[in-house]
Order: sequence, then structure tokens, then C-alpha cells
Amino acid sequence: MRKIDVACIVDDDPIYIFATRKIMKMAGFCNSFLVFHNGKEALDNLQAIIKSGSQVPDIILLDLNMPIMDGWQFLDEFVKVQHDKVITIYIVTSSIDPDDIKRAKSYEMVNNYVIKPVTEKKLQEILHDFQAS
Amino acid sequence: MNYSHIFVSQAPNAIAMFDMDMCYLAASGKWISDYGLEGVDIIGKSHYEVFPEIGEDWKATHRNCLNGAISQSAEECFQRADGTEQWLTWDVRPWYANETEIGGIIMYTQDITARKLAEIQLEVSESQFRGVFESSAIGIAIVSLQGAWVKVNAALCNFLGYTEEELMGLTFQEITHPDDLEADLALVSDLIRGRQQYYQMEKRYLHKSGHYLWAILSVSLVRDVKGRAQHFVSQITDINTQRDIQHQLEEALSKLEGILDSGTQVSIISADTDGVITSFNIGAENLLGYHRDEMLHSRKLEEIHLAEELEQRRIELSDIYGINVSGGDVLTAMLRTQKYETREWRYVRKDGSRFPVQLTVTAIRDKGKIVGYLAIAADISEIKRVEAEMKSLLEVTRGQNARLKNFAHIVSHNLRSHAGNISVLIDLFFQEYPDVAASELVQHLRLSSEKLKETITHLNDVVVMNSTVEQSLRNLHLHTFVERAVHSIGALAGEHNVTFINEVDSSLHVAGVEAYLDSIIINFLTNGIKYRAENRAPFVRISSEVRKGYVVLNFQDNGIGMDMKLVRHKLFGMYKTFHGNKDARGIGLFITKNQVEALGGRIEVESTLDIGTVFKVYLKHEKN
Repeated sequence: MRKIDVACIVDDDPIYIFATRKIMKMAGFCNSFLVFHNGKEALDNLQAIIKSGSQVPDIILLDLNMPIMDGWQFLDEFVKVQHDKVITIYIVTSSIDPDDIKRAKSYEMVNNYVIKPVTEKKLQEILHDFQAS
Repeated sequence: MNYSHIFVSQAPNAIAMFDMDMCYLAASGKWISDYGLEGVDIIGKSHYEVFPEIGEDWKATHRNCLNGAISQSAEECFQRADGTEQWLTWDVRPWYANETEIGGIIMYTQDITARKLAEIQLEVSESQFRGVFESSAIGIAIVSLQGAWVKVNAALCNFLGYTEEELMGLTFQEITHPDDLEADLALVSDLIRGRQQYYQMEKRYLHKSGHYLWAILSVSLVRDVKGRAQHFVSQITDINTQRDIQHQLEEALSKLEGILDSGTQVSIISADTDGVITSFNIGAENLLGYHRDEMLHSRKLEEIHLAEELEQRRIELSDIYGINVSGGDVLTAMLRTQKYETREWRYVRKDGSRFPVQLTVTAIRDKGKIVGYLAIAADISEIKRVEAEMKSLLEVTRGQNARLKNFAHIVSHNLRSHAGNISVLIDLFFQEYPDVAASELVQHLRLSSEKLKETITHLNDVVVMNSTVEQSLRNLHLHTFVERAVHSIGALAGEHNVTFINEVDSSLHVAGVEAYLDSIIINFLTNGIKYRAENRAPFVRISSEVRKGYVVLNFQDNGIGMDMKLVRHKLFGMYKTFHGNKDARGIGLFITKNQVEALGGRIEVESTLDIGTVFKVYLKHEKN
């Protein structure tokens, strides 16, 4: 059974990050976290991490509305980064705009679209999917 | 004897004197010249030796005369040895040497060949004339100086409808239109007095059946050798068809002129095939500021256009239609293949200002050949102004709509983020500090958080809902959907002892979107539970009927009912609640109504307080 080693949260909302980390810990979702506060920060750091080959995340929970570089811009750049490890991306957002949902489906590396708030139940589902894949 | 010879030889006529042996005794100079005997010594020679061609019949005549007979002929034709014909009048008689004794004959001849040929020619031309007269398609007549028809041809009889006999019993005065008679008679008088050689006039004749016919009359006067007037020769040509066409043309022209001048705000300009303006109406003067005298026969159609627009159109024509045209032909190029062309252009006034027009250019054709163009233009400034105004209004509205939609999404997104955080934080708080869960304050906090989440969910439903879903409509089996909804809230119904009765016809299908249909049915069933009457066994009966292309889905309950007089106008409004019910969801009916309308249907409601309510949901019937 696969276990998530490193989970990466990309979101600018500190309360969301606080709550999600807490729930993840309680649920035994993963061994460690990476947290970035916007797309740019995530992109720069992930590129360096992938280059070094250690602590590469198994899963990214990506918000859409962020300052500096939003979730879409991050995706557009991240697809160009060469990496060997399979990284599963979930879009986790408060947006219920059908256009966003449709657009998310157009990215091959985006696994699913999760509407906030993130509850323990939803994390369990993600974990289950991950283990099954 | 010699005297008679001298007399004969010097006579002015052709005369010759022979002896009993038919030998020449004497011949006049005229004889010699008439018979081509110049330089021939004929005296003493036999007549038959000089003219060997003389036949036996003549010789017999000569012999008779030598015996005392006289022979004469008014005219006779002789074939000469050289093949020519000669017409002669002649007289042969004996001459007496004394009282009783015949000495020979005297021949007198007159060459009448020239006269005879003229006569023959006259006969020929007369018969030709007769032929022309009889067979002519034009009416020809000989008319007496008094006006009687002396001789008329078939064409004339035919034209006027009379027989030859009838016509010859009339005068031209009797069958001339009274209005034309005076002019005709004046011309006749001029002709007789020799002021004119002939005259021609257009006049009307009375047809036998009583109507008048138009004709061109040409008359010449025939005079005798002494110059006295004899009779008229009249030619009468039928011009009724011509007159009709001319009349129609005049009528059309006068109508056109009326149109040209009545359209004071419509520019009507005609041009010849080179584009040179040939007419310029009042409307054109009003709109363009030119006077027609400045334009007629000097300016061209394209001169009131913008050069850059003509050039642009020229490029279009050559690119799209492959028609190569020079600048002046741009306006008319399409008319080679079509009757008219309507386009929007800008005209340029005399003062240089411009205004938009809708211009129709029509080719004027005569027997298929283009002989000119008609350019009719209406000033569309006002229409253009209104159009631009509407466009800008539409632009503003579109912008506002986009901003509103954006706003709705942002509001729902942001509210959702914060409400989601609050509810997660409260859950975590309860997990970390289970002993404070009993505090009423924290209980209320949790309830408020739940309510906020619920409200936001409803708002999201409203924001997401499309006004139309026609492209995603599917054919749905109604009975199955009702059954499914009944099952899904079965637990809730059981709690409150509410019975659902599904009587929907299982053959019916409706046009719908699955999520909408689920939501609609669940909403009405939930309402039935919420507004049940506590004093009787509650039920919701779901039935169906087909009505004019719709399936009507009825939700009938025996609940507490509503006072329709009070609630009718706010029943389906957003956030309207009518009952004191603690978990009333005013938003529910609002969303349901919108979903039903998005599916092309409608909702009707009947309700009586303390009796119950019937919701009738009209959905589009899909025949399967």
C-alpha cells in the first residue's frame, strides 16, 4: 500500500493552511508537508527540490486564487518542469465557477477538483484514491 | 417626171418612189437616214435587192398596189436583218403615169419606234403601279378634289372596316375626326393652290364600328398637262400601336417625374452609361446642397461619393468577385449580372460634409441593353445614430452583466472560503476541547456556522444556475426520478410519518437535466414534510397528466396550506418564508421555479389554509 510521504499545500490563506495541516496530522495523511503561499514561491522551490531529488512531493493541493502567480499560471509553468516522480495535483478552491471546473479538466496532470472547505472526510477520499492508483 | 423625183427626194418625210419593177426612182433624205442607207446608191436598184429580208407578204402587198390597191397600217413591227425591232406607220399606193396607167408605187413610212417603246414602258409601269396599289400594306387611295374616295385599295378598306363599295360611297370629310378636319382641309387648300407639293399629318379616322383610329396621312396632288388639279393620291399608315406605346411612355414618364419631385428627402439621380448625371431631383438638391443646373450633363455619379470608399469597394469587387473595374464603374459593376444593388455609402455634400445613405442603383435597360442608371438614396443618419447608441448601450449592459457575474462569483467564493474556514475551525475546536462542547455559547456558534454554510450553498445554487439549459436537455423517465427521490428522503419522511404516493404514469418521459429534476422533486417532497398538518396523517400524492405538449406533475398534500391571497406574489421570491416553521427555506421555491423555467416549464399552485396545497409542475413532454 502506497503512503503519501510528502504533501505540498499551495495556498495564500493561513487559516486554511493551519486547519488543513491539523486535519492532515490527525488523519495520518502524510509524513511531512511543504507549504507555499503563492504559485511563484511554489514553482521556484519545487524546481530546486526536483533538481536535488530529495523531498519531492507525492501530491500537491493547489489553490486557484493567489497573489503574484495564481494556480493556472503555476500549472502552465509546472507542466514544463521535467521530473521522474509521479506528482498528483488536486485543485482545492472555493470557486464553484463551472468555467474553472471545465478548465481544470483540460490539464492532464490535474487529478481532481475539490471544493473547500477541506474536511477530514475529503482528505480520506484523496488518500484512498492515491493508494488505489 | 423629174419634178416628181425632185419632190420625192426633197420631202421632209420618209418617202420613196418605185417603178413597176420595184426599183428605186427616188427616195427622200429621211428615207435614207431612217433605213440606214447613207452612201448607198439605191436609184435604179430593186427594193428587194436593198432589203433582202423583205418577206413574201410584203411582196404580195406591193404587187396588189402595183395593180391599183392602196395599203395602209397604223403600226407594224419589223425585224431588221441586224436583229433590231422597228415600229412603222406606213402607206403604200400606186402612182399614175397618166390618167389610167400605173407607173409604180410610192411608199411612205414613219418610224414610230421611240413612241412605241414609250407606250410599252408606260403600260409596264401602270401595271406595276396597280400591283403596288392593290397589294400594299399601306392604305392608298385616289380621292377626288371634292373628297370622294375614287379608288381605294384593300389595305385601306381593311384598316377602316368598310368594303370597297361602301368606302367609295363616302368622302374623307365624313370619316375624319371633327377635331382633325379643319387642319386637314387647310392643308388640302394649300395643296390645290400650289403652296405645297404634298402634305403629311397625323389624324384620326372613324372606323366603321364607330371608334377612331390614328393614322399618318400623306397626300400629293395630281395635275393634268395644263396644270389643272385632277385628283389626290393619299397614303394612310396605321400608327395605333405606335400611339399606344407612346401614350404608355408618356404616362410612365409623368409618373416618374411625379416621384422624382415628390421625394423631397430621397435623392433620385439618373445617369447615362458613362455615369454622367441626366436628372437630379429636389430630394437630391435638399440632401446634397447642389442645384440641379450644376450637376446635369456635367458631373458624374461618383463625384458625390467618397474616393476612399469607392477604392475600397473596387478592391472588394476584384478580390471577391474577380471583377476588374475602373473607379467610375464601381457603382454599377454588379449590375452586369443583377437588376439592382443596395449598399450603404456616404455621400459628400457640396460643402464637403458627409452623411450616410442607403443607396440602390438600378440599371435602366432597353431591350436588354443597359442605357442608363438610376441611383436612389435615403439619408440614414438618424438610423445610424440610433444604431450606434444602441450598440454602445448594449456594450455597457454587456460590461455590467459581466461585472455582475464576476461579482457574484467573487462574493460566493470569498464567503465560501471564510465560512468553510470557520466551520472547519469549530470542528477542530470541538475535537481539541471536548469539555466546552456543552457550553450554550459554543453551541450557538456552531449552529450559526452551519446556517451560514447553508445560506452560502443556496446562494451558490443561484449563482451557478443557467437561465437556459436547452443544449443539455435529455429524455428522462419521470416515474423513475420520483421513485428515486421518494427513496432518498424516505428516512426523513418516516421520522414524521409522512406517506408518499407515487401515481406517476410510468410511460411518461420529460425533457430535463438530471440534477435539476432531482432537485425539483426533492424540494416539493421536502416541502410536504415541512408543512404537514400535525393533526392528521400527512401524505404527498404525486400524480401526472399530459396537457398540450407538457407533462403536468402534481404534488398534492393535506398539509397546513397557505392563504394564496396573501402569498401569491411572494411565494417564489428569493428568501421569502411564510410559515413560522423553524427550518423554512424560502430560497427553495425560488431555485425550483428557476430550474423548472430553465427546462422550459412553469409552476402553478393552488392552496387552501388547513386543507392542503397542490403544486402543478409543467415539464416538456418527450414522446418516446
